[in-house]
Amino acid sequence: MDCRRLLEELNLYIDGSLEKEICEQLEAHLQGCQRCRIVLDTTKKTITLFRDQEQMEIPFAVQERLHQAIRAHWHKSK
Amino acid sequence: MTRESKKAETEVEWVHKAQAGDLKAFESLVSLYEKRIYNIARRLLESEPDAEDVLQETFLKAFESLGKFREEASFYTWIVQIAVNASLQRLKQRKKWATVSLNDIDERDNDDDYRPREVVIWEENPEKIYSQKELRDILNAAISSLPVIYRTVFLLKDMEDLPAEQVARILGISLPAAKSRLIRARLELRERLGSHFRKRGAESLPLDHTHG
Repeated sequence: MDCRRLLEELNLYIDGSLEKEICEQLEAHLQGCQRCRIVLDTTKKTITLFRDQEQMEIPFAVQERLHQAIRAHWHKSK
Repeated sequence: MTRESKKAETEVEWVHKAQAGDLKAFESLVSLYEKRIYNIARRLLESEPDAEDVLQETFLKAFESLGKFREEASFYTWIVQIAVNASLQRLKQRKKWATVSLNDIDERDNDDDYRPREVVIWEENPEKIYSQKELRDILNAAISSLPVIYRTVFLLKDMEDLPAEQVARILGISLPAAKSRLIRARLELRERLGSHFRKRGAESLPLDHTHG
């Protein structure tokens, strides 16, 4: 496996859904390629940083207006 | 029964009740997902008022179309699709697509796009170098600067944790297209964060063409 192929398989590898045989080839390449190791590590870290972001709270007034609109809609549909 | 399957069963129950006209059941579905829908819209539109509009539009449209919901996908996937379409529609109105026309997307489909431009070691715990607010600003700036087609896929797959198949379905694109956009999104974001998180004193590794 070369660097280009590794990048093509990077998604599946990160998501843990790469076939075993290709996974082994990829890991063998990683052993000898510092560039790919860094790309893999920093890409994984990128995903983790975004995934760990807290969700923004809905402002209370926005939430109130949403539920009021739904109730109004429901009454109108009756 | 696992927590997930219990949750799915409750959701299906609420959907059926809501379809039969039960307002409380529908509001339970809204309460369950309103925060996630709001966050998707906020991140796509980067505007609080627009996100509120999309939030309302999504649930009102879902309410009106409940009878058409055939459970081919989960209720959540269905409302995400409504919210994403409403958000993209607004972005089109804002003419933000000017720089990301479909032609541009096709032109980007070449192997060179896969090549990382800068490869440098990051600090061990980059999230600890900055305050929470600074980190949030860095991440927001990075994702905002991403073309919409990549941002949307990253948001749904990596932040909302939807399977790639569902992301493709929501966006009305093929699975290979969704996967290819995801890798570009991930690598582009990685590049954008690199300047903030690179290890002090670390040198970028030179581009190595011998490995292909």
